Amino acid sequence: MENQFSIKTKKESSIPVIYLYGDVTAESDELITKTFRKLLKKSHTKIILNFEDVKYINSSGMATMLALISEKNQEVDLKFVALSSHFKKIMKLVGITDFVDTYETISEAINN
Amino acid sequence: MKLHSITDSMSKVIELQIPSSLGNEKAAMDLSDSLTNNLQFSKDRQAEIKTAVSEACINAIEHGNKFDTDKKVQILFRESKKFLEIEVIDYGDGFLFDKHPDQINVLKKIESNRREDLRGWGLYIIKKITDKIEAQKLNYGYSLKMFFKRSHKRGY
Ligand SMILES: Nc1ncnc2c1ncn2[C@@H]1O[C@H](COP(=O)(O)OP(=O)(O)OP(=O)(O)O)[C@@H](O)[C@H]1O
Ligand SMILES: [Mg+2]
Repeated sequence: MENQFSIKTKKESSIPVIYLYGDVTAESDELITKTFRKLLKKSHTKIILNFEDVKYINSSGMATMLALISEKNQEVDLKFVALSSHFKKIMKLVGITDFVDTYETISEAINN
Repeated sequence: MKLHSITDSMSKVIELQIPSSLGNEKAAMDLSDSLTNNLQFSKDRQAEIKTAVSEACINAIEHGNKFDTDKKVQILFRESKKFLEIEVIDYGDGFLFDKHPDQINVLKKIESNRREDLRGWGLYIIKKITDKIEAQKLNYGYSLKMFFKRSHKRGY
């Protein structure tokens, strides 16, 4: 039943991309938050989260996303890539998309 | 995990029981997926119903049974002519469902310094997704019934 969550961070065109693998739930909260904080310290102006390999996001995952939004300052643009239409809708319901732009591909997120 | 299928005169009932630890809600989500697929709900609607099932199960595991793995969460899927009804039962004291707010101020949450203030989305999402909802205190626990119109072909 357990789904091992993991993260990979890679720079694309000098912009950090956090690749999420597995479920975004209470279990993944700490790793996502820590990874994000490390990048915030390096004063990037844009940080991208890739959801391509995420099949399940629950309410705890929504709280994790809100934590990222609340910890970053206004100068940092947070961008979400490859969210399924369903989870995009849920993030819209919660209000997350008021603070984060969503894109289909990483290159779109980089260029916008 | 236990799975039963009962057919009474009115409707078909499928029962699943899961132990009260996080992650087990996925069994209920999988079952939801296969049932909603058989009942020809749209793909969008299937995903929404699955999310509602997940959040109701997580609440039952966390707030109802308080992660006590000796206590099971019971999930009943009932098909009737008009609805797919999904009931989630735990052994807790429940809560005042009618007092739960219909709107949540996300900005206020983000501006709070307390991490736990960022939570509180499960019921809100459930309410937005379901066509009808009934919460009831039982003599041994708490029941949340979610109804999904079978004619509801599109997402909310
Ligand atoms: N089955 C239940 N038994 C007892 N209390 C419940 C139950 N379901 C919900 N509640 C109460 O309602 C509140 C709101 O639930 P909701 O799912 O919206 O938020 P949460 O579970 O606190 O956080 P999140 O779902 O965002 O992780 C809970 O904090 C809890 O107090
Ligand atoms: Mg909840």
